[in-house]
Amino acid sequence: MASAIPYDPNEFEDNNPFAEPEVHHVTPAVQPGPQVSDEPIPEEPHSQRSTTPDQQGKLTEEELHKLLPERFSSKYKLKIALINIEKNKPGNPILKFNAEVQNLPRYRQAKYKEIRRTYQEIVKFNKYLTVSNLECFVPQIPSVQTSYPTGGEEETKQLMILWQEWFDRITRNPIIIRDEEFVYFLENDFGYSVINSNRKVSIASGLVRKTLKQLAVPYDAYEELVEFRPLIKAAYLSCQKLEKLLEKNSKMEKQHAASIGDLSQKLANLSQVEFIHPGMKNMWEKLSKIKLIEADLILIQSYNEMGTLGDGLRIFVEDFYQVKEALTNRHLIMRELVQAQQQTKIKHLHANKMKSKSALDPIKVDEALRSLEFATKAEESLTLQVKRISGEMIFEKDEVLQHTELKFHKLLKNYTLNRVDHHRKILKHLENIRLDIRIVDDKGGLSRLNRENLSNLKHNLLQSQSASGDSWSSRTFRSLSEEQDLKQKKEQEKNEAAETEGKESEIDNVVDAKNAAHLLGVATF
Amino acid sequence: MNHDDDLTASHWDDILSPSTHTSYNAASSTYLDPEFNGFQDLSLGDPDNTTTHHDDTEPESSEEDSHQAPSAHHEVQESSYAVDSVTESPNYNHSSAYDTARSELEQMHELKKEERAKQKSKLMDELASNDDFDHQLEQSVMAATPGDNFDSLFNDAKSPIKFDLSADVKSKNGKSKQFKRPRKFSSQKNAKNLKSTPAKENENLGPLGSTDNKSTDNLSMKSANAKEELVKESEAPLYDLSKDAQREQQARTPAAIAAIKAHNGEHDPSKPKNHLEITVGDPMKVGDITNAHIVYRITTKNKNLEPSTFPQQTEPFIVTRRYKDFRWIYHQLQNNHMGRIIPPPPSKQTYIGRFNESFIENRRLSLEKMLSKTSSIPDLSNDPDFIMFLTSEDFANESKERERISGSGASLQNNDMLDNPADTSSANNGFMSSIFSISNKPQEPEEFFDTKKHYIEALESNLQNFYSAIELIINQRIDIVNIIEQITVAIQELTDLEISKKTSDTLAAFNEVQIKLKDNLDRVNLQDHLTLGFTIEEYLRIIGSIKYVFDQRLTIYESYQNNLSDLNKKKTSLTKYKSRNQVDKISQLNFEIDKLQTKTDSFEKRFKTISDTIKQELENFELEKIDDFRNSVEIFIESSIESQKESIELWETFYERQSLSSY
Repeated sequence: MASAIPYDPNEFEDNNPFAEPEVHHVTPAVQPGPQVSDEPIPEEPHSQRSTTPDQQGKLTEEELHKLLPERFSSKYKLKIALINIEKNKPGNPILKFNAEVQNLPRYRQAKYKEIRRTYQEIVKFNKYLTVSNLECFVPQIPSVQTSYPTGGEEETKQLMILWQEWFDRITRNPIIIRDEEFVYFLENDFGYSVINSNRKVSIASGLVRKTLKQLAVPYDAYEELVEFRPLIKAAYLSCQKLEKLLEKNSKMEKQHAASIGDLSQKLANLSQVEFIHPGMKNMWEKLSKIKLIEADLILIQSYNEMGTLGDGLRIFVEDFYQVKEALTNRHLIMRELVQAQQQTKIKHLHANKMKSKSALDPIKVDEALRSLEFATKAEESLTLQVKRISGEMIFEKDEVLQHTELKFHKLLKNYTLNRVDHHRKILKHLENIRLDIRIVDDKGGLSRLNRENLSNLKHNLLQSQSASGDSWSSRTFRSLSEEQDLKQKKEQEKNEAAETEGKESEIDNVVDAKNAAHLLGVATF
Repeated sequence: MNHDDDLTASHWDDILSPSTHTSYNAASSTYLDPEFNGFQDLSLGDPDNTTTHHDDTEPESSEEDSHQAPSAHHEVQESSYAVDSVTESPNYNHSSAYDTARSELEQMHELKKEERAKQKSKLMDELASNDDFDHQLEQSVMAATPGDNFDSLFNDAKSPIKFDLSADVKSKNGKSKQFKRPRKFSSQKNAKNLKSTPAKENENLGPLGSTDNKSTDNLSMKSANAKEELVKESEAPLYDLSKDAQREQQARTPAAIAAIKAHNGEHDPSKPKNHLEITVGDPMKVGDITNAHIVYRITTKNKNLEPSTFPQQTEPFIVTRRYKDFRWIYHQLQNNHMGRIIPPPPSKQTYIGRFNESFIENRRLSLEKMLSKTSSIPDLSNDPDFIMFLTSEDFANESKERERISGSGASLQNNDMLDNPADTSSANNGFMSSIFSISNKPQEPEEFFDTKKHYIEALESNLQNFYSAIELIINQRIDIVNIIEQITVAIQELTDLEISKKTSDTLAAFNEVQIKLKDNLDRVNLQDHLTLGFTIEEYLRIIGSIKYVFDQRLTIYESYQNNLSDLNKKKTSLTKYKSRNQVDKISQLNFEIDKLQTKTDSFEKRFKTISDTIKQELENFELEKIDDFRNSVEIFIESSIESQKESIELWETFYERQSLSSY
């Protein structure tokens, strides 16, 4: 190795050891493919020479191609479709899914059917992915617990959606799908446990991590990422706060529903006492019934509120936390790089000293040069790693933001639909009993507005929510019915698509005389 | 007039006897008290009336009658007024009818005196039957209850509907004009409702069940009675007047109430009735730290331009009163009007939080409602104490003076009923009182009151539950509003981060909706509190008043029973002495028995009066309860509906504006 030192003695006099040497020397690229490791293995110097790294934090297209080849090829695809959630031990259901692989190496099949993995296995897998893919914001699998009643239909529905979403996000990431662990995850016949479990966390953890976090953030050349971490952290905190408040609110509303139910009971009792006047009795009874319905609706609403907004925020919190940690990891690696740079500097100085000495001890010189070379290589690899991470994160940052935006809107949409439904139901019930109150006696209540001769008690008693729109506004738009229309349309489209597909396949499959002749004709001529 | 003298003498004897000062209160509740300037012309006019009756020529007396009838007996008039006003020339009708009836009445009075001594209810019937003016109706009444006494008209609820119809038909023939208004009401939905109820219910608890037949009956009775009072008044003041008051209340059955209410709008200034507009406002903290309290400014305006019982003044009266004073007038009215359900003031608050703004506002509202309700009851609005309360500049001294005169001890009165209506419920009192007082509690003479009492107690406990449930909900809503407020702050934080421009926009809009919904909830909550909550609370206090009235009645009954047993004892000893022929003791005993007899009689009468008053009051209570609760429930429902609409609108707008449907 020592003989291969390409160092030019002139360089040493330059006294700027790491301005140039890397350029001359090695340009190790992180090995592409599934073998993404924390310890990048420097390869043989590439014939192609990389351009000077832009210290301004801008990676050129060319560099990106080299550092992140995964990002620029759509060759590799992995698709996972969740089919079913099977009941198992509480808190550990079995997920059943199909997988489809395209062009990825090492897989033995293109399609995998009905893979069964328990939730805990997936959580472990998820954890592994987080550790082994430092350049990615690995999404966290949503908790098995939802705010809906356990084991209910709503819960299953919600979990299906959330987990499918998680699978989609995982498989959409070009780096993660090349993780070799994915092969094991999909191919293992019976159960799954992390195979590469010996791959330990390369960055600091525990107390060291905590201490390091206290230190000032190292200089970051990538502006987008500089701003990103505080943003995510703040979002994480306020989502957490919001989620807690929502939970509190939901608890209050449950109590509220309970006391409205109680009120209904009290009203029923009161109606028992008011046997003198049938109108009053009727009024109290009706009011009691309405209150009972309202109590139920509020209870349902409190579940829905948490189910949509609350759970959504919790997932956000988990995701944001993961993003934040990934960004912290990047900072730690950058710190390592700074240290490595210092090391190289020291080694360089040492070598220089050696050189200036009158008597040269060949062994010592050899050692000094070797350590210098080693330090330089380490620094080199760290630099590349930081670059790769930064490049990937800049990509993923946009993805995260997009996903957040989409998810937020979806949450708010569901929430809004629930609320509208809730209020519409209550309104309908309330309007139903108006007449019961007016006919308590012949005075007709306040609605009469002192019009003594108004004999028709039923004036303006129409339901305000008719099919043609709400009576109180000119809008004809209805969020709920629109939603239904959309769903129906989608289904129709699906059906149609299926039908046409079916027809096509039928046409394809049917080999009648004419068809056969046609085929043969093509073939022969 | 011999009988007559005896009767009055015994009454005054009774009234002036120191042992029963409560009887004086009873008297003061009538119109005879000379203290009350408002009624002085009444007390003067009455003897005048009687003296002139015998000698006067027809036209003169008719004039006098037409003049006096409205002024002296405004209470009755006011109820019958509605009827009168429908006819084209009410006064003339009355007086002429009266004149023709006069000679017959003179003779009849001789007979009546004897009967009156026996039973007043029977007398009532006789009076009615002897009225020429009403002879058509009389026939109808007699036909309906052949050879029956007056009580049967009231209590015969076994066939209420049938009776109702017959009375209705008769009145149609006889005086269709007069009954126009009442019939309109009775034939409407109320009647339908009532008819649909099983007859048994009606039988149990009369007021509403037998409302219709009573109302028609009362109206027929009333017109006859209105004229006869003039005569009766001079002859048997206490009896007659209490009867008067009672009749007035009888008249205030639904039909009559409606008539009065309808009439109030087109108020006739010749009426001596006060038409007061009372506002309570400007709560102000006065006094130093040791006796700090809130005073309220009461502004009273009498819409009746020629008041007879109200000091005349073009400017509205403005006085300041503190909470204690409201309690005083409440108790004073309770004592002045035995058996009346007086609109109660709000309950006393614990020392802490006395000066809390919302509490003061609540109390102000309750006090205002109390005064306006009091003034809407004609009897009470003309009460001199009440007028003094509204107008006096020197309330502290005057109130003491009045209290002394009436001997009511209003300022010292026990306030249990007011302060903690919850604790006075039977459940709480039950155990201890059942041990100590069950033995000396007299047997309830009327089943009606027993059932009523149970009903009122059941109603109270249920309303209490209702109230606490509502209050809990209101408090929870306040908590929810607070949490939503925090949520909006958190959302605002998230919005300010601007994760992405679009997300921030949507979140900001979302936050706006949340804030509006929060305000909406807050508003609805306050409204519920002020309508439903307030009404329930008010009725709980009114129930306290009702219970007080029940107690009043029982106290009178007890003294009646005690006197009766004393009387019986004396009588047995008298027969003993008679058999032994001990002449000296016999005369002594005779004297004592006479005295006791009159006392007992007066107690009996008072007991009957108060019982009847209470019955009437309970009827009114039921009707008012229906009205008040229906109205507040209606407001409650309507405001809920509006708030739901607003919520829907907000969410729909949000959905549309943010075009969430594309996600």
